[in-house]
Amino acid sequence: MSKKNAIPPYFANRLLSWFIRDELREEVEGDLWERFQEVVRTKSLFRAKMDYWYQVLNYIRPFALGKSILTIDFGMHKSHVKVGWRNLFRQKWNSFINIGGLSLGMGICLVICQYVLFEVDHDRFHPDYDRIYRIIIKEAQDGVPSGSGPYATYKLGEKAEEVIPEVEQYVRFYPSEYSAVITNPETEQRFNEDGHTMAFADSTFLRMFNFPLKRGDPTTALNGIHNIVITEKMAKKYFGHEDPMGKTLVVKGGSSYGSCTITGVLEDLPLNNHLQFAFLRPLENLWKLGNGGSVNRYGGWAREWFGTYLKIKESADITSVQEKLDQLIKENKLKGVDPENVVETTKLQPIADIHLRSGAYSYPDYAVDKGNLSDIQIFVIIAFFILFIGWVNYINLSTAQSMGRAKEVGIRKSIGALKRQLVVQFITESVLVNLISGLLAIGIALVLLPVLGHSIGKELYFTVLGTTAFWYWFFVFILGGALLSGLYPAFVLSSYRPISMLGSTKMVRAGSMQLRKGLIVFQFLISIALVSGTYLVYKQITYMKARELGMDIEKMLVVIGPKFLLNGPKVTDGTDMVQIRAANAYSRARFLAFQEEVANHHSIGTVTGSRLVPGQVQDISNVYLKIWGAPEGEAQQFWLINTGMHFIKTYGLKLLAGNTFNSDMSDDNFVLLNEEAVKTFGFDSPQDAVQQKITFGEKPITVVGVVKNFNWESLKSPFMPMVLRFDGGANNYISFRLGVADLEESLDHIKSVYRTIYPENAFDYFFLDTNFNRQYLADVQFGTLFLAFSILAIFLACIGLFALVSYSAVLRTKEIGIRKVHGASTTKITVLLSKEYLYLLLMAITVAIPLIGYWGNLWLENFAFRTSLGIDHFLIPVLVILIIALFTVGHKTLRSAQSNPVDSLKTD
Amino acid sequence: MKDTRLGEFEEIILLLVGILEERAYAFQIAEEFESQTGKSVSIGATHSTLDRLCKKGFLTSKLGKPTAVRGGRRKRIYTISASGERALIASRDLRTSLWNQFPAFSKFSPNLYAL
Repeated sequence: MSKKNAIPPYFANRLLSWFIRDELREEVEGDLWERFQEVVRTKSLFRAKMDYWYQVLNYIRPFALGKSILTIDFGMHKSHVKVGWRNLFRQKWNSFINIGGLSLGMGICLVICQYVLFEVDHDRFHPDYDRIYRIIIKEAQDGVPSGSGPYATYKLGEKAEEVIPEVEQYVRFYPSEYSAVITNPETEQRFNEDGHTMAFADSTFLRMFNFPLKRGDPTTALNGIHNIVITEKMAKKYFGHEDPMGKTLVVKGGSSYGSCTITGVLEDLPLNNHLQFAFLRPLENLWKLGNGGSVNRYGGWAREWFGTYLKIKESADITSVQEKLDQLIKENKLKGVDPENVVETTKLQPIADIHLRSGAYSYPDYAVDKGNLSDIQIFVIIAFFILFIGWVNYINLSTAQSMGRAKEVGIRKSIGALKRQLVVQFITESVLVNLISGLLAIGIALVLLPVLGHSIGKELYFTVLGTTAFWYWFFVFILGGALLSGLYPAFVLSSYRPISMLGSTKMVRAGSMQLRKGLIVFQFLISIALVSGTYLVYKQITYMKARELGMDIEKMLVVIGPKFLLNGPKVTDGTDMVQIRAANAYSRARFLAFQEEVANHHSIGTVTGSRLVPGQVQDISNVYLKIWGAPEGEAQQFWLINTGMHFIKTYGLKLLAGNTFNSDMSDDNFVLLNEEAVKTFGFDSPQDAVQQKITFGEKPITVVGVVKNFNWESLKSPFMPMVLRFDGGANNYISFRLGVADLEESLDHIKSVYRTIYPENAFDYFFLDTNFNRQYLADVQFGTLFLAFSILAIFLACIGLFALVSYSAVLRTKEIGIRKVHGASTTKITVLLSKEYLYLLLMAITVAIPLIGYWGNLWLENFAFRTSLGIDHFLIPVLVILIIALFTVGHKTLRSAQSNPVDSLKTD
Repeated sequence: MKDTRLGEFEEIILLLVGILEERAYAFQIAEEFESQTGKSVSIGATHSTLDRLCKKGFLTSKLGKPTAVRGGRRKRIYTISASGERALIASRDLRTSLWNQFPAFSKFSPNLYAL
């Protein structure tokens, strides 16, 4: 329909003219008509129709109600409610199944909706969030996209605010990657703080973003170079119940050293927020006092380090702002520093899109825990599907149960009840059941939400309950659902001729059995698929945990390396090689001393330092390497990991050719490759690779050996081409292969050596196998969710089946009686009655098998190392479902078969 | 006379009727309310308040001419009655007197009275 001659929804109009007082009708219709046209013009036809409904429903107010509605016979309605209520109580067991199934379906739907809302609602709590954008930089080398990431140079944001009129405000955010030790000098308490919790930002940060301060002034908190703002949680951790304002924290190591004064305490950051940090310092601190000294070299147009946020004026055109930003980058391109053939363009990403719609960048995003839009869509579909199944089952059940009330309907009819009144009677009952279920569903959701939150590792709260929109939709859904699910039984029953209902022959058939059977087949299909899915997920996880990794991570203790060295040389510019070399040399000497001292104990097998340990991939360096002398274009991507002397031995890697590192080697000039890297470089065999030179930066480095492929990362990912570079001083993580001696003793020894060599550092350690297996957490959570859904699906499918069986048992009461009189045994009748359901199940199974095969394999393709689909993936779910279904059917059919034929036949 | 006090919503509606003059009918008032306060209100809620204000005697109303925009339907135009004006003035006087007694504001921003 075109916008021009749009007309308001017909039924809304009918409703309005039914209840509105006659005198008001003309003016109200006129007003609503004008409003409707207005919304059509400014928004959309759909919005206008929704709005019209809203306006009409909002006219249901005492002053506007007309005679027609005030004269409704409320006495009759009261009787309907009363009869409905009595019915619920008379058939307790039936009502229980009815309400139980329906409320469970609704409850699950609610829980999922709340979860989906939580995911969709990320980063929307800032004022004018729809005007805040993050700059994404996209690189193209010779016109081919070569990388992207949410980091811009120091100057870009600042300059943008200055020269682009549409930019209202900018904020830079620097997520530190180096962890540090933080000390409360009063109590001498010190903790290792992870890099990503320590951020730096412009002083305007707390003004653009809505992170309320519990203490302190948001306009000045980040002004002084030595200021620090911490979260409430950190305030508790370091100061307990004392007031932290104005107190000092000493930061050692990390991106910036020094004492800081607390000038603000943030309320703990909301969970639906991509900016997660615990310590916030002014950006100035980073480049004046910390290792960010190079940001201002080249006028601040080099070093893409900063998450940059722009607040754009309301009427601005985003594409044109992007073009202006591109222009800025182009104008300030550094001749001779930036490669000529690389072009950088910008994209402004709305902050509300960061969580679900940003996808992956080639430079890892500092926004952690990003969600997945397609997962969310699947969740929504599942939620409504479950609700739908709940209603279908309810229709089946209530139709079956109402057959027992044929006599009641017959009597009502013969004493003059109109068809309309009967329909209203049944719909009233349906509304009753739906309302009760709806309220129960909220209870169920309240219980289930923390369970779901726990299994996906997020804290969820039932926030929708506090919104009016929720209650509005809640009642719309309940009443709509009640109407839909009540109409069918209502019309079926009220349309019978009274004579057939009062007579004793109840061989009436209501509605299409085919449709119901189809739905049952469908429900079982879903159940089988879900059970099979659960089984597959668990099998894959077990497979991944049990598979050989090509290295030994058991009994591996990893100590987190020192964050700073007392009295060591300081680095004030993270790119100044002279400073860095001096610091490295000192750090290396200390580490060698530590290694020697710590290994001198019977409980320690071997020790090695490394920049990262297996399982850590976020901070891994991606480098482009080629064989020494090969042309420029042949560089390929490799993973580079700096490792210490005994890395191969400590981790039990298998050497295929050449040698490991030895003490004669100098740092950074020797590497080991894995098989995959040998292949990527194009060497014919591991032996061929040994002693070859490869280009690293400008200089050649030598391959000393080749190790067998091993799984640095979880088994989801394939082997990557890896280059292990010798760095005797690498001590970010120190791995110990422990001997047989008891753990306490080894730990005590390591700790005391650590304390003497690295004073004022915190001592933290973990066991590698637990840490490594944490990579499968998401899969385990996925499995738990799947399990929950399968239980639910089975439960709902069983209710559906039960409803169908009860229904047909009622219909066949007489037949069973006659068969029994003629000598049929109980077993025979049970088999006879169950047979057709077995047939339905078989149909579901036949359809399920190819589906399981298809989806199962599709899912398994996510994993580089995977188990295979076997006959067990089909057999186990089928058996599980078969047993449960047979039990459900058998229970009911057996009861019918055992019934005394006299009861069913005596009335004839 | 019935209750002559004004609720906040009633007061705003009454003022809007005064502002809109010839164009003061339910739809227009609801639109104006939204654009002036930034809060949304349904036509039904506005209408019910207008109806209540008529019953209190603060407003009078008459049916206007039919217009094409409204599919040929007439609209009800509201006008403030004398007692409606009195109620508004009483309400404003009360506020002004309260503001005058509020030391923190009278010291710094005398302009606030103008609001």
